[in-house]
Amino acid sequence: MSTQTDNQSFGQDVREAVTSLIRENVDPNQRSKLEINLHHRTQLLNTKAKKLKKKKVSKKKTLTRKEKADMGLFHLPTKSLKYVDMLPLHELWKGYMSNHLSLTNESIPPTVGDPSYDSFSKILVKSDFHGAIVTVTRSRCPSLVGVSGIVAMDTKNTFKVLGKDNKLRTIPKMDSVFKILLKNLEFTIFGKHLTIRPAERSVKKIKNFMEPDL
Amino acid sequence: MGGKKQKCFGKDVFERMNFLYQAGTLMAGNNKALSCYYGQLCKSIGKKAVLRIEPNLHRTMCKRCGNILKPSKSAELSISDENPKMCVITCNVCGKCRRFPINPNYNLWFDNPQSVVEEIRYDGESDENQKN
Repeated sequence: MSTQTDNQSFGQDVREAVTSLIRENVDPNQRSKLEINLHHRTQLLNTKAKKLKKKKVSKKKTLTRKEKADMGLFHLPTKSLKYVDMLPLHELWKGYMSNHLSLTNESIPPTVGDPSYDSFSKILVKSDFHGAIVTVTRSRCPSLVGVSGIVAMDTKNTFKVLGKDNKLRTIPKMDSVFKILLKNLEFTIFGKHLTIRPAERSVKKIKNFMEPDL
Repeated sequence: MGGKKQKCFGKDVFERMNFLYQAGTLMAGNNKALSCYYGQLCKSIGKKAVLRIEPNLHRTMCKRCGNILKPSKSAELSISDENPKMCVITCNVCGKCRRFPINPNYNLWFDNPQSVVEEIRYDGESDENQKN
């Protein structure tokens, strides 16, 4: 039969008891020379040591969700992000957006009555909002009204917005109305139309717009 | 090469992917979560719309976590001694390394003039060579 003692698995009090027991039983003249090494493994004869299993280094091409979470890829730091660092992203977004909506300096986007209003608003909803400066004008939650900042992350149901006070806030899209500034233009977008996964947004077909009630 | 006015297929998606790639490059080295997120999103949009990223750009994105690889900022570049010599890029976020053989005579198929079948011009701006 194999009996194996692994001292590392014992608690602190057991270790102290063992050391004091050994000390008492050793000849008092020799006590100063005593060295107690509790990490040592004792083994009886005619037994085989358990082989320690080596962990295989995985050569996977993809990361699992847990590995991503351990690296901290899902959670943005709520306080260490700086508003100043995001301003270049906003500049980039401005260029992208005016190119995407094919706006020149003097052109005016179509108003509600125009025939091209529908297609324009479809393009607007399909565009990307990372880096936009967004202000909440109406919301079912009154404390969210007036919150503004640069969009850092865009998920299916929320915007993560970095305000001027360097704080990251999460705003639900469903019950809010957003105001977006681009050059001298001001767009008002119902958050309900934006509740699509960002990866699917540019492909998904959008049905007719209904004015949602808040 | 004609003067026909044609709509570029998937132009808005290309624009969006391009924007996300640039956003990822901005964030690379400063904020690993955002850089990975933008890179990953750029990839997944391409997957969803069945559009390909240009191979030279594709090589600068981490295959595993989507981080944009900037040597000395978000990645480490080294040359290994084996034959043929390899250029090894290691991602600083997930540790994935990719190896490319160094061969001065080799060109990507994309850069080869034989690969161009047709050149289409859209309203003066050529979108053909931007991303294909």
